[in-house]
Amino acid sequence: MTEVSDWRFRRYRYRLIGSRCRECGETSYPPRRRCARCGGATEEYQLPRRGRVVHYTLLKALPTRYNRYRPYYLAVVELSDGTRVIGMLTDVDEPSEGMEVEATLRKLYTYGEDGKIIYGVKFRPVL
Amino acid sequence: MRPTREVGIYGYGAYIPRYIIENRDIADLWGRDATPIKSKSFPSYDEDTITIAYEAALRAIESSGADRSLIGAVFIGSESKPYAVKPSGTVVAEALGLSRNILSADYEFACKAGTEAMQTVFGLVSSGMIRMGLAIGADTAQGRPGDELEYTAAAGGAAYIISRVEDGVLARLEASYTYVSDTPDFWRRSLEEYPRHLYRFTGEPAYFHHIMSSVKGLFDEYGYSPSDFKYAVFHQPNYKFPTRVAKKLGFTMDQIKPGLVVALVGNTYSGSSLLGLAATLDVAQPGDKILLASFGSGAGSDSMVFEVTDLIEERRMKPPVSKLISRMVPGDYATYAMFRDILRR
Repeated sequence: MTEVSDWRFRRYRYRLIGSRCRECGETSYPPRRRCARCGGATEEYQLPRRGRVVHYTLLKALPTRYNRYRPYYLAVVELSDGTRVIGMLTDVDEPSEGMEVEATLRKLYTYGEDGKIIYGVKFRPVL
Repeated sequence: MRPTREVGIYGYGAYIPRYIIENRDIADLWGRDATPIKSKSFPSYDEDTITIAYEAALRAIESSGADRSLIGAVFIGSESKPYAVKPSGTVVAEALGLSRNILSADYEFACKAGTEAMQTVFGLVSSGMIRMGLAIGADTAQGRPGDELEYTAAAGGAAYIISRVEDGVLARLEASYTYVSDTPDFWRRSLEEYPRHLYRFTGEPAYFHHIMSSVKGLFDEYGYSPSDFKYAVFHQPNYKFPTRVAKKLGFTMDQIKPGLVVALVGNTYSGSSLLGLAATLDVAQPGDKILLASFGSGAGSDSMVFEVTDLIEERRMKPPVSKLISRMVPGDYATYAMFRDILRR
């Protein structure tokens, strides 16, 4: 990613905007142009903010731009409509399978001291 | 000040980060006895004023059911903008999915920037230039390690959706008043990391003089007295100042207690009085009158009078401020220093 491509994806990063297949209804995040299941054309789809942790893992070895943010938990979250997404967890000491989480906006990383701050969706326990 | 067309609060939301540090831990580290409050909040390593403003605004929209397409302004009051140059409001607006046809700017007036944003939106909504607007006060306030401010400088914020009364408000604005003067009690020079302050100067000539002047000005102009109010909220840089100013003005502890969150949360600067107002709205009933008086160093105070309406029940913030506070967990000084970027790997 660069500061420019980060900007191009901000819409999807900030708001959990995914895609839904016009043929079979399959949803995915990040959005896909063609459906992963049937190959049909897709449309933009606003995913729900709430879900449950299905799987998680602790990431320690990361690119340098994540230095300030490592280690962090990466999780598969099943949203309330059944869509499964991969996202970072925050405000969590020790996650558990089934933990109720909701999407929020947090800093993902920064381009050094004088570069852009990149924001995006992370999941935290429901308030 | 009274707008020509009546305006009020359509929805409100607040946010406090998850972490608190005990004042005792800070005092022990620096070998001091002073503990002006019990604990203060601090932002997680991935939070800043933009993410706090987003959380508060999202809660205001979701709890009130406001139509995002009707929001025509996002003003964020803060003294801890993530960027010196680049508006915070555009990130928040984009993340909330608001229209791109909106007014947006960052406001700075030390701790008064949040109510300053509200005053601006009152005017824009009342004039008909916009239908609804978001006024947010949010901060991740800085206190130099070892300085008095380190005990209280906290993180948090609150957001208010302002609309015309005819669109349905949970609290109607009756009147506001403002009082400012050139008083150098606290400042941060450009490119400096931490603010400076003139110690005892922050009390009488700054906090007390400005809040008393704005509240008395409001009372004189519109004929209010303390007994007209069910609740009052004053800017909360510590526990002592708001309780003392309330007493000086003739308010009781019962009137200020619901909004007095500083003992556990700390001074959230631009978010401080707005967070107190949110905690007060959480318990207010239809017909209650609430006085809000902010204070910003430099210096000035905005006073506002709200009357709560029947819509309060259905629009209350979910979850309430008390829940945000009860979920907070203590962190030690090392965690605080790391999350605040004082310690780096």
